[in-house]
Amino acid sequence: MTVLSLRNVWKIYGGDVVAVRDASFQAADGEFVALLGPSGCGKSSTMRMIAGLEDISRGDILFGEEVVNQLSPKDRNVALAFESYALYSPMTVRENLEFPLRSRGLATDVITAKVAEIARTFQIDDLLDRRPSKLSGGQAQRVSLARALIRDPNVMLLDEPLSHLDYRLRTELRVRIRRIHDELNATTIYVTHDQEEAVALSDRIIVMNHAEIQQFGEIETLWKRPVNRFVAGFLGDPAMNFVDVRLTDGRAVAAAGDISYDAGIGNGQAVLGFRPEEVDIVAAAEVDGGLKGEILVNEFHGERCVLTVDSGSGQLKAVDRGDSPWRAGDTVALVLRPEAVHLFDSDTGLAVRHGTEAQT
Amino acid sequence: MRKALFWLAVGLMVFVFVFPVLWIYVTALKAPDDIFSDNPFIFTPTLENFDYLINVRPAFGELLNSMIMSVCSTIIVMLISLPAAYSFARFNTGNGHILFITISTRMFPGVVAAIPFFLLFRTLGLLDTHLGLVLLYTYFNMSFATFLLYGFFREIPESLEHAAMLDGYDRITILRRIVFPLIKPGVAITTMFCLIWSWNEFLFAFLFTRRVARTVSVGQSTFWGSVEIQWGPMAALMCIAVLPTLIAAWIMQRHVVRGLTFGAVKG
Repeated sequence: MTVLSLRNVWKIYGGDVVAVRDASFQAADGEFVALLGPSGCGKSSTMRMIAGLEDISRGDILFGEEVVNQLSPKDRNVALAFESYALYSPMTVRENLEFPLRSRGLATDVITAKVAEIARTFQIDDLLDRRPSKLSGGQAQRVSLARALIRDPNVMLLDEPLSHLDYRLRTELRVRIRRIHDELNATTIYVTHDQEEAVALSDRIIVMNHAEIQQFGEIETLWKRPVNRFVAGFLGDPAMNFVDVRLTDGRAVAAAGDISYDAGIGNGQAVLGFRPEEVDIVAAAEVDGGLKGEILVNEFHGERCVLTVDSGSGQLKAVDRGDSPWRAGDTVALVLRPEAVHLFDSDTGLAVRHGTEAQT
Repeated sequence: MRKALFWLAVGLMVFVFVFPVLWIYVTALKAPDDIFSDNPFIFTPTLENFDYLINVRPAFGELLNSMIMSVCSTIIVMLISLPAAYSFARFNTGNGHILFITISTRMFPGVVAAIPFFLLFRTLGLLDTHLGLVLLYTYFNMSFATFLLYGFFREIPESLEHAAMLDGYDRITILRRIVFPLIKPGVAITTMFCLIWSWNEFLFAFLFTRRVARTVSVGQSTFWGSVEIQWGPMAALMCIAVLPTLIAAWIMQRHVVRGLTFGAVKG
């Protein structure tokens, strides 16, 4: 069990394609960290460098105090569960589980005991004599995780392990993954593009985009104080709305209407962000301010309804209660609460203000 | 009705494929007079054609030559192509250029190379030698085998090898324990194609051999003389010559089906 640190790590392919740019973070001993980002953002490259499957172009990766840049994968004692499961198809499940132990030259009875133990943990006892091709997706993933964890790794890397499974199984397995992590207390990096998984599982989340780490912190921080437009827009479903506004004397004026808002940064152009959950929806005629528009769709999601509003500032999303009275064609105003509004620089996309507090 | 049509189609196909082979075997058992008799299926079977191949005009040498050429060239091809294909598939060696050059040797008809090869072989004294033909067959089969194996290697997910590396194994062990069991059907089908191709090859064997290294396919053509065509011995030799390929196909058919559908279903 180890503290994992990355110090200014770069991955550059073929001399000019930057896959990871200057990544630095530290995962505490036993911490569960999610590496979250859209596909192609460099999260897999980061993970593969930690595993030792790719060279590090620049920077250092440390396990505890030790720099592991030059260590081959087998000397790092890293466990990696692959998106594609990567089970050895000519071998049975039992042989798959034994495989990593055999390379260490453990005694046969020790191996047998370990296999039995991990099989119990993952409830795959009855699958031990099957071949991987005879397993369902969920079973294969459990075997893959079991094989990764059977040798008490320093660091556990999970590369989108659930992305090929159906929704129900995913929610079930992720509870199990978290439980196993808590039992083993291994430092874990969980790579995913699914924010729901990241939020459900991890202690802290790293958001990556365009090869760079955007923000690293607890989910609440990411949610309430996103450092830029990308983080703000990436987390949340439906995503945050962004509206171009002109700031003038305590008001923010958008094409769809204006709201009372004291930005405290003087006048000028900016981007206003607000979450669909944090608006009040009222009939347009009943109120002066707010962003006005016509409802295009009202999607019923059970306990809530998601409205798509066509406004002068583009299509906006708003979340209403499950018994939402609004129908397509109604004209409404979205009234924002100043304390739940984020302000971003219109050029750099960096956060300027969250609610009534300035970004520090 | 449906069933009847199905069996009719199957019967027709079997007939089309099997009839020529059957015809060869029937002809081989006929005396010269029976071969052109009015009723092809009524005759007294005789082994005189086979006797001719053993005592009058022995064909052992040619069969042995063919065996040497195809087996030797196939072994060399596999020894070179397996690592080459793995390297192309995993490390993209030569950025695709070397692979392209390898395959490009297949883009012209083989006969185009006949004259340059002939001159080269004459200079090197390789005409009518076993080594010469083995080298030629190696040359022709290698590009094909490399390309085929390259495809098979590509089908094996790299993550398997990565997983094994993390599990603490070196590349050689991984190749032996993980990769080879998966590539086996591919190796089987490639080996078979190489063997059959070089066993059946006629053109280069005909151009590059006279007596010493004459293969069975060339031997076959000697029955087509200027005076007469010796149908009986020719058919008898064919009977023997098709056996290895038939047996190879039969033994490997399980692998071939698996090999041809390799990658169609993800394991």
